[in-house]
Amino acid sequence: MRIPRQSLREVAERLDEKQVAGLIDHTELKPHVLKRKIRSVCDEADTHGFATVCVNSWWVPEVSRYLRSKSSRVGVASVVGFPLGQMSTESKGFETSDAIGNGATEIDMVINVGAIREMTSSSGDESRRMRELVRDDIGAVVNKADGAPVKVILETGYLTDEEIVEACRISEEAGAAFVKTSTGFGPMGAYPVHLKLMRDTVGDRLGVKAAGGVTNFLEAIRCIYAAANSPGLLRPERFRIGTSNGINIVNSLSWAKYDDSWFVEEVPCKICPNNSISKQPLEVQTVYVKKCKTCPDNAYRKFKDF
Amino acid sequence: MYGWAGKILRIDLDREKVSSHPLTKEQAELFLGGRGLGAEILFRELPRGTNPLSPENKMIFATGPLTGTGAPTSGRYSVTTRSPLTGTVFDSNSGGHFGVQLKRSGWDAVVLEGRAERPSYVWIRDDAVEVRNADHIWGSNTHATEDKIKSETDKDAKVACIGPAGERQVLISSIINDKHRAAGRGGVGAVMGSKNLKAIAVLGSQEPTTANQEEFTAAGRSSLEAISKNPVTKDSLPNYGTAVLMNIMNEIGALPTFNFQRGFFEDADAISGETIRERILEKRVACDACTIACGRATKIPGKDRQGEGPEYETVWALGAACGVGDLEAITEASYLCNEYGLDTISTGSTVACAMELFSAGHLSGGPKFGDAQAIVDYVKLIGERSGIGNELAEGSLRFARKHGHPECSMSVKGLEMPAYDPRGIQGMGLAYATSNRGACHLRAYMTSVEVLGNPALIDRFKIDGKASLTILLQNIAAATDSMVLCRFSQFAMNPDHYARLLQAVTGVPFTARDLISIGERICNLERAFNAREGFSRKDDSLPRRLLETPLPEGHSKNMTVALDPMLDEYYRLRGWTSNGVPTASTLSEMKLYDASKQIAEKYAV
Repeated sequence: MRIPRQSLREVAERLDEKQVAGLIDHTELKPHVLKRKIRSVCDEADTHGFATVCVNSWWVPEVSRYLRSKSSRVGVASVVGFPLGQMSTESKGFETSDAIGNGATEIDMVINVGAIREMTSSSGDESRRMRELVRDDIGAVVNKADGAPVKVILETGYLTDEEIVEACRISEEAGAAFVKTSTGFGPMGAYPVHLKLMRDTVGDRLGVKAAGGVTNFLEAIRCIYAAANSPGLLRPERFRIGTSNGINIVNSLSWAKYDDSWFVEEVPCKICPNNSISKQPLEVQTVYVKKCKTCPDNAYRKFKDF
Repeated sequence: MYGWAGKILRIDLDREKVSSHPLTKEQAELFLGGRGLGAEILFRELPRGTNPLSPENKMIFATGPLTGTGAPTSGRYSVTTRSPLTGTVFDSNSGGHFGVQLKRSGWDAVVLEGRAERPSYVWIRDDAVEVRNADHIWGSNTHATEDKIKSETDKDAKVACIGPAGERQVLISSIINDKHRAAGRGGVGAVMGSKNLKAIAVLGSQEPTTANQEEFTAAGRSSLEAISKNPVTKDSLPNYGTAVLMNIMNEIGALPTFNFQRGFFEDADAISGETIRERILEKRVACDACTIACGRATKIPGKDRQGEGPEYETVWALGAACGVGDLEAITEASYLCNEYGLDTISTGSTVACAMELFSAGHLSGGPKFGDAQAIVDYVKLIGERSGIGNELAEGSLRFARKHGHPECSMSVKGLEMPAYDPRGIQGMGLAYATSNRGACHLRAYMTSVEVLGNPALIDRFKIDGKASLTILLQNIAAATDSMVLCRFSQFAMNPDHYARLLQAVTGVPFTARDLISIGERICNLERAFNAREGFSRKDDSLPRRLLETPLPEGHSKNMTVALDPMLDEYYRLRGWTSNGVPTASTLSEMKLYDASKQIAEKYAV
C-alpha cells in the first residue's frame, strides 16, 4: 500500500496531542503484571486523557475502583476470550457479564478465528452454520455487554482479505461497535492495508481499532490515514489505537510539528503484512505470498532490504 | 537572572590573574550556555589563524541554565576550544558530577587563557579561585591526579584533569572528570596540556535559582515520565548500556569492521552490551540528575582491574574496528585510555588505520587486524608518545598521510568517525560530513531516526528528506548542548519538553521554535568560525571508501553513501552557498552581525 507524503502531512496537520490521546486505549495485557503497574497505567491514562485503560478481565475491579477514586473520566475496557478467541460462547458471555458488573465500560472480544476459517474453507450448510456460530458468539457478548460498546478483534494476521471482509460483516450484523485488527499476541499487528480494508467494509457505521505494534507518531498517523481519514471518523466513537506505547506516541507527535520530512513516502513493502507472514498458517501464508507476487510494488522485494 | 549564575570567570594563566565578568542578558538568551556560549566567546575573542596549541588559544568550560537544577540528564558541562586535531571550533561534552559543582560554585563558565609558567591546577571554591602548583602530579594518570588533588583541596571536590597523554599534547587526548567521564573528542586534553594546566577542581555551595519552581517540578515530572516510557531509555540503555547497539548495528550490516572495510563482525556478540552485562558488569552508574543510568561499573574477571565502561563507541573502536573480539583486552584498553586521558574513538580508529596499513603491507613490522594484545600495547605507546605511538598520537589522518595512504584514515575534518557505517545509514553520512567539529555522531544522531525509530523510523537507505531532518536534529542538539542536557534525553523528550523546562527555570518565555532557532544560530556561528579559517565544502566530505566502495556483505550490502545530493539540499535549506559557507544575510538574520561582517569581508571578492 502506498501512502503519499502529502496525505500523511495533511493528516498530521489536523492532529493535536490531546485529540490523539483521546483515541488511545492505554493497554496493559501482560500476564505477569503487578498491581502497582496497573495503577501506574491508570494514572498515566488519567493524566494524558486517554480513552480507556484496557486490561484483562481479572483487573477490571481494580482499574474501575482506582479510576473512580480519582474521579477520572477514563473508561475501562476489558478483553474477553483473550487472546485466542476459541472459548465457548457461554464462557465469553460470562466473562463479559462479569467484566461489565465489575465496572467495564467497553469490551474487546476475540473472534473465533478457527470458525471463520472453517466457514470459508467449507461450503453449503457447514459454511452457513459456521457463519451463524461466529455471529452468535459475537451476539452473545454484545447482549451481555448491556449496551457497552463491543470491539471485535479479528486477528487479521490469521485471515485472508476475503475472511477479513466477511468477519467485519458478521461483526456488524451481530451488533458490534468496532472491528479491531489484532491482539498483539498473534502473527502480526496493525497494518494500514488491513485497516483500510476494514474501514471500506464497515464504512462509517462502525469504529475501527488499530492494535499491535503502533509505537510512535508516524505509525499512528499511517493508521489514521488508513482508517480514519476524515473528520467524522477521527473521534473516539469511530477510531481507536490500542497500544502500551500511548505516551510515546503522544510525546513523539510533537516532532511532527517541526519538520515535514518525517512524512517521506515509505517503501510500500515496509508497511505491508507480507513482512510478518512467518507465523501464519501455511494456507494463509500461501495466499499472502501469491498476492505479493502480483503486487505492482513487487519490484522492491528484489532488493532484500528494500 | 534565573537559571544562569550571571558570571563568567576568566583566568589568565600567564599572570595567574583571576577576574569576574558578567554574563550578559544577550549572551544568555541568544546562546544559552555550554556549547553555544563557548562558540560565542571563542568566535569573538580568538584571532583568525590562532595555533590551537599556542598560549593564544582559549578554553571555555561552560555549564548551562539547567545545570545543577536537577532537570533530567542535566549533570553535564562542555569544553570549547580550537581543536588541534581538526582546526575547527570544537566543543567536547561530559557527564558525571563536575558540571554541577562548577555551576554550584556560581560560575556559568570559566575562560582559560595563556600558558602557566609551570605545571598548575586551578582550585575553585565558590568565589575563591587559586592557581596552584602541579609539579608534583605532572606525569600522574587521571585517577592518581584526582585522588591527590582531592587530598589537597576537599574530598568532595570534583576534578577534571588530563593524564600523561594531554601533558604530551597527544592530539587525540581527552579531559577526564570523575575518573571515568570524558570530554573525549578533538584533543581538548592536548590544549589543556599546552597551557601547562593539569586539572581544574571545583566545589560549590550555591543553589541555582529557578523562576517558577512549581512549573519546573511539573515540567520535570513530564520529562521523566517520557524517559520512563521510551523503550530505549527505560529498557535498552539501563539494562545493557550504550553497547546494546553492538548487535543491532551488526544485524543491519552497519557495524564498521576492519577499519570500515566491512559492515559485519562475526564476533560482535562477544563484545555486546548483553555480554558485558553477563561477564564484567558490577553495577549501573548514573551521572548527576539522570534516571537512565547507562554507565557501567565493570571489573575484569580474574584481574585486580576495575573501572567504567567500555561504552559502545569504545568497544567498537578498540574492538570491531580493529577486528578484535576479546572483551577483556578491550576493557583493559578502555581503562588505560581513561587513565592516560585518551579519546577511545580516535585511539581505536587510529590503531585500526595502522592495522590496515600493516595488513595491506603498506607498513611492516606491526600488528594486523585481530591482534588483541596490540590494542592494549598501542594505547600505552600513544599515551606515552613512545615509538610508533608518537606518530599515532597525531591521529589517523596525519599518520596515514605520512605513510602515503590518507584514504585509510576514516575521518572527517581529521576527526575519526564513530561506530556507524553511513553506507547503511545514509542520513548519518550527511551528519558526519556536515558536523562543524568533524565526524561526530552526536551533532545529529540520525541513527536514532534511521535505525532505532525514535521519534519515528525513516528508511535508512533513502536520501529523501534526510537533509531537512539532519538540520532539525543538529539544531535541537546545539540547543540542548547549550542548556546543557545529555543527548540521550532526546530519545524520549521532544522540543516542547525542552522549552518547558527552560522556560520554567529561566522565566524567559522560550518556545520550542525559539530553541530550534537558537540551535540554528549556534550551528551557523560555528560554521562561520570554520569558514573564517578556510573550511568549506571540500571539508564536508567522507572518506573515499564510503563514497565509492560498496559494503561487501550483510544487510547493507552493495551500499555507498549518496552524499552530494544530500549535501546540495542541506546547503540550500541552511541558506548557505553551494560551497558550504553561510551567507552574510543568513548570519544577519540570526543576529550574528559580527560574523556576518567578517564573512562578508572574507568572501567579498
